[in-house]
Amino acid sequence: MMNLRIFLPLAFLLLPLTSRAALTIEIVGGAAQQIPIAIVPFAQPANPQALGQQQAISDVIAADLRRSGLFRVLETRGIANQPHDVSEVRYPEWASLQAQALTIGKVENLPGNQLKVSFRLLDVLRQNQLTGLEYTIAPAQLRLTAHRIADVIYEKLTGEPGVFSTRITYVTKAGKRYSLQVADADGFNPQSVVASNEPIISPSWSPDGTRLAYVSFERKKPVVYVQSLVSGKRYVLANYKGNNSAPSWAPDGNKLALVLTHDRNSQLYIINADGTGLRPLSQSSRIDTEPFWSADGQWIYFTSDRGGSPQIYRISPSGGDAQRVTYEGSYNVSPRISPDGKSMAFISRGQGGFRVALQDLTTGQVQILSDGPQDESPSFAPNGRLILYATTVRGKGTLAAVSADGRVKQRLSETTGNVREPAWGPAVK
Amino acid sequence: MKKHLLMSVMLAAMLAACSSKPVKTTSAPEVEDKSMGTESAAAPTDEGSASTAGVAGSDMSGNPLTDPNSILSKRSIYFDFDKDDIKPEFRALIEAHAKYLASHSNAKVTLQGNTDDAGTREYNLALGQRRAVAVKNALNVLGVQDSQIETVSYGEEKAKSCAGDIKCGELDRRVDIIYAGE
Amino acid sequence: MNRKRENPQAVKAGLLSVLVHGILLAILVFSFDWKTVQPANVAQVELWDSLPAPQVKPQLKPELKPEPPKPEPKPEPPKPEPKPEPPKPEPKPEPKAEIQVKKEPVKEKPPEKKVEKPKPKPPEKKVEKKPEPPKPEPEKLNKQKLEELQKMLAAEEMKVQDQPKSAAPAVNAAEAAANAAEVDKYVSLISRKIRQNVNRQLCGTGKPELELEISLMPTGEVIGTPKLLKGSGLSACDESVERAILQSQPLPVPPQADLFARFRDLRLKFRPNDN
Repeated sequence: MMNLRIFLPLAFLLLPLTSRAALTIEIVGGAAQQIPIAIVPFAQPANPQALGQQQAISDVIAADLRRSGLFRVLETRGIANQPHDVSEVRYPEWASLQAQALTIGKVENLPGNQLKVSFRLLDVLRQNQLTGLEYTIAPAQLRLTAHRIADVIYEKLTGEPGVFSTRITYVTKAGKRYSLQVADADGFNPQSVVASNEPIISPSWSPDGTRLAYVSFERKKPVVYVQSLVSGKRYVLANYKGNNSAPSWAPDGNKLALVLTHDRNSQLYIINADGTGLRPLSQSSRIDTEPFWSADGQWIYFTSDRGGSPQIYRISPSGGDAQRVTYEGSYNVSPRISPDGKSMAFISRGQGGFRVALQDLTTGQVQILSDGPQDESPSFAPNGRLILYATTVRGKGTLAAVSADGRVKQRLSETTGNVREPAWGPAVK
Repeated sequence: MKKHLLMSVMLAAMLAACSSKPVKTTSAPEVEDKSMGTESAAAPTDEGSASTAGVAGSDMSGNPLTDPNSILSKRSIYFDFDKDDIKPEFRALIEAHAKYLASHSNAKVTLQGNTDDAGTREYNLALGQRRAVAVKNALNVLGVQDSQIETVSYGEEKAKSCAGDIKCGELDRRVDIIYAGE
Repeated sequence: MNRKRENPQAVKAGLLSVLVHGILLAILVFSFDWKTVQPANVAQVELWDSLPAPQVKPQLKPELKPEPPKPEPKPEPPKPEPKPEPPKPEPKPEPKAEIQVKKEPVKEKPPEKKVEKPKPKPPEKKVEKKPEPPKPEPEKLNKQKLEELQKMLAAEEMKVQDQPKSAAPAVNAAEAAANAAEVDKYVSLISRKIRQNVNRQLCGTGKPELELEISLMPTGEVIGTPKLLKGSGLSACDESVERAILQSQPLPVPPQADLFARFRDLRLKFRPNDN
């Protein structure tokens, strides 16, 4: 007893003495550029004919993740363990391949010519499931489902929404034929929305993704049309004397900003989506063009040479004084505001020709993102991470994309004709 | 005699039209005397015009706008890189069209502005428009009403691919005068 | 308090009584110096005289490592013998060893008290070893003893861990330097290996800082999962850093058990967007 009475209190004294501060190691920076992920080919249904001639779902997912630049998709062919259920997964084998995440899944037949697609995203190192989902679909939706799964995986591991199930629009020119196309974000399945022997430029997505505004020269002058992607029907939004061009939707989808000339220099106007209610936004004796409505609806950014050279300004949609936004260089045009409103992509002409640049709207700092020399028409992806734009490769118009931090570069190729005037559609809800 | 004179004048005019410099009509060469039966239009002869002889065209259709001899058949005004001011060598052309429009109140023109392919499409649309407006202003000064003029721009849409070569695009930087009905 | 009225001899008796009491009291007071934990057993605790204490003090500290035979500064030779026993990182064995060792010198002194006491009360022995000036109040003495005991134990521990078997201070310093270099080397190896797997693309554009805690096995494997102490504010960044740690297994750790002990629990600080 005596011993305990002496010893225990002393023992408590001893404890803090023996546990010294844990050794601290500092790790500064990081060398990894991509998340290593393995995607096991999904189990096929008993009746594979139901799938038609579609690309394997795991291949579409792998291509999406790879194209984002944030994932290194590991080769899984030739690996003996090809699990489709969690119980079949041998985690240490995947860990030894340096995978951090693993995707497994199945496609199964359902009555009524439907398919059930299920997948699980697993954490290889912690050996648990991060997420798992099931879809009941028609076979024709298999590719879209693959894109949706890629979106889920992307968001789970990067914290950002994925854009693999979005669409893009662009104009192709083959010979004398112009065509406005809408395709999946990976360029697959292009559909012609309108075709003409006269130029088509400046397509602009409505915020809900159901309509496109664009400029067509089929009347031998630029005229703004609005066309429904659901019905295919269109109407003339503006055909005033002179030019009608550069449509930009307001975030509420009920109005557009656009440019009219009326036998003078290009000026900014606002008009209702049904073509009524035209009113001028700003008036100057110089060129004011390329309006772009910010996503919060607070500002309309535009290009103007009122200062002597083309620069970017902004003005409230209710009018007032314009504020200048760009100060570096002698030619800054085509403003596009990021979905979060914090940065602006635009085209800057400098030593390297015309290139895509990004300006931090808080600090004013500018970073050149693309290589030029003839880059134009920048367009943000709805998650703000990628910027789609038009470039020229060996004399041929091509689409390219660059990440907002400049680290990831992609080129999307169209095999026939010249491609130009891209615009990235909104996120699909 | 009159026919001979006419023929020689016409021949001389044709010869003059082929050359790039104004050619003085020489004494009438030996030509067959044929009466054309047409009157020479009271078209003004311009002094020192760069490319034409300034003799009113007397083609078969009678439309001075399409007569290759007439300055009015010239429809393009060219501009320097990034510029919209009208160069002196095109003054005569503009004046000719101004006079035509002033004397043909039913005639309407579309002034179509164009640029080279350097730069973005919408900004080039605006630049082309600015050039068209410059030509319109010049016509206004010479008495042409806005009701006879529409200015539009094709921007770079008709330009050839020049990849930034300034010399390459010199024919793209222009305003085209297009008469209604053509 | 003294009552010497009735009997003159009573006065003498009283004085003698006082004297004896005083002596006893003095002895008691001195004995309390080493008796921090059991004020009730003052008499039992008294093992050492206060006189040799000052001489023993300087020797106490170096001796604490291997052995704390304090009462006699001279018998150092016997000390090295018991040294192998006590030099253990844990405090508990030390007291026992000390007890064992002390038994010898203790026996040289009045055996009845010392022998008995050291055995059941190892902390007392340590207490005994401390040469301290007597203090008036037992409570204060106790507290001071406790503090001194803490210091002694800390000193012992530091020395035992750093130089387990070396008695000479010069040799200890050299070993300490070599061990520190080894530790630095493995710190650098671990930092570099984890850094290879850190993905800064998922950590936004700011300058986030993260702190995580891990426990390692001697094989370099992480026990369980890293514990997030301070996050970046971006869960994708936090998770990616955790994955980077786990993917870096096995972490390079020193093979020597005593050095590995320093790596058993690690605190990792990340600044992924810094260069």
